Amino acid sequence: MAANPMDNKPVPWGKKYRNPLMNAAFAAFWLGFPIAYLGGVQNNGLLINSAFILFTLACIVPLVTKK
Amino acid sequence: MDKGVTLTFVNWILAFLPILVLLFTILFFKWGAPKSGAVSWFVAMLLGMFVFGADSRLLAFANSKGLSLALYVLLIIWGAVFLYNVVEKIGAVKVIGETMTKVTEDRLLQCLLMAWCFASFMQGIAGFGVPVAVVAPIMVVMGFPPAVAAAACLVGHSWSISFGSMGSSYYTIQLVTKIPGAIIGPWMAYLFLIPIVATGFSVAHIYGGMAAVKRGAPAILITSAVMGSMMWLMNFIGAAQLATLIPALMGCASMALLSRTSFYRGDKTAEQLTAGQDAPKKMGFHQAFVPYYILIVLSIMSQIKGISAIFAPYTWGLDFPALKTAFGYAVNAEKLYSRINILSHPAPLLVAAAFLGYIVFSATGRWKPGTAVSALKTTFSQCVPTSIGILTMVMMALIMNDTGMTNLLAQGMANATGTLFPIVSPLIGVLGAFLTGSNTNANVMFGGLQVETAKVLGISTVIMAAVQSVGGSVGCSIAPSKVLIGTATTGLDGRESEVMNRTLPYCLIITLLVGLNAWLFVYVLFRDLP
Repeated sequence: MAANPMDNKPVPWGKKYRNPLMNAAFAAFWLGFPIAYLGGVQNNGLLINSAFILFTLACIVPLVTKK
Repeated sequence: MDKGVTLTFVNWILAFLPILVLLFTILFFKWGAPKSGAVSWFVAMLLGMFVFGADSRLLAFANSKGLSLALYVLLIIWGAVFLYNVVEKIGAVKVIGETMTKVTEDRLLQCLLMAWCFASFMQGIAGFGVPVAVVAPIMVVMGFPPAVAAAACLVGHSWSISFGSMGSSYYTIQLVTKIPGAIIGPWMAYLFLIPIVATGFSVAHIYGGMAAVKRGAPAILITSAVMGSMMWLMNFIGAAQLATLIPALMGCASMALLSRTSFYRGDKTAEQLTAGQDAPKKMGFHQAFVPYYILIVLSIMSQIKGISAIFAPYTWGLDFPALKTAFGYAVNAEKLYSRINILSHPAPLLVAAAFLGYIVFSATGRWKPGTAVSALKTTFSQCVPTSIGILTMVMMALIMNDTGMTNLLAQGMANATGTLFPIVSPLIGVLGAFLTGSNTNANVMFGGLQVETAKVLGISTVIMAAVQSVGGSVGCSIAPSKVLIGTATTGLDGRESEVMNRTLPYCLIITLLVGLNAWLFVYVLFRDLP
């Protein structure tokens, strides 16, 4: 039986790792939540910026993996 | 009024940009909600920081508020989807769907019964997206196309939100505007008459176009009269917290009775209604519906003051300080923001309903081993993308709110319209609901602004406050967070634009009708009303 040429197409990495990356993004939001809040309460720039980095990374995931 | 960035056309457009990006990417690029939400969040963060004068602390708190609100909503979604998956995996959803199909053989009446009346009944007892999460998948099982089921539910129950959830939005508009419920409630009931009729016709149109509208007209008009008068009566007797539950229940009864009339009863009724009755019944409707019966009972019990007082201390919420942007826009301090109470929050009730349902199904030998774990796994895979969409959008909305973008948007709309403000006023409510996915939150955001604008224009503050809540209710039919619930529970994950494209025209038409009604009220019929 002849192989379907479509089967040999490499799966884009965004699609291949979509589920674990989306789960990680979901976790990143909740990790960033207490950090952002504590950063705000203590007016701690390091905590606030760490939270923003987490939120940014979490927001990049759907941009590179979702339709 | 709060200070902030000066209202100019350019600033107004910039304030509108995050919403514009969200709408544009969903409607024209056909992006899913997580992707569109993420881009809008970036835009809101950059504008907040570089145009609207927010410092990093204010933005950190705005994002935390967004996450607090999202947590409140997501717990409900996860709870509702989990309950649905448990019920679905033991075959009870199929039984519910088949039974509802047998109430009437008429597909149009089935659609109206489920999306317009039953979904509103669910709004009366639970709300917060539960009606869509529960009813839309049942409609799919009944054989309706998923997009029709989701859109019909979203539009169909949008008349019932202000007095739904035992009147949470109704109480909020009173708190924000300081207008007593006894005064504002009946006016809300008058203004809701048009959305009640219009949502009925919209559901018929979503189902089968103009032919369905014509055929459904008698049933829609009669049931609207029943529901509208019951809503007014509940307000008149001071039981506004039941002004969705009772009218919706009466609406279900009205539709069931109308289905027995010769107009809606075809020749095939007898055969269709008896079809399958000879087959051995695996599970009865009432047994299949047990988890939802339990949910209804628990929801009603949670409203009893004596019981809620016992659980009142078990509340979680974060406190936020008062803040100001560089342009002087003031954000008020918040105590126990987006508070989650173990009894009044629907999620524990949903989990309790699933657990008690498990006991009943186990006792009757219907429970299949591994159902809970399997339902949990399905719920997780279904809800993560939906949750990311909601998280990004609610965070964006709170950034807009706390940096003064939302306020600027509403001010611009009010200034530009002048005496036409009552026509635009419900659109502000729609905007709030679109941003937050909640009539309650929309009322918090814009209730004060509507009253202030009404004072400036010298028109009735009572009617404009009522219009705000009606607009917020209608706007929930296009709120991305609600649309996401519809798509997640009907297997349309990633096709949010398809559902939103269907709901948007109906929402806009109903909003315009409410606006025209409001204009007529404040400038013609009730000019002297304070």
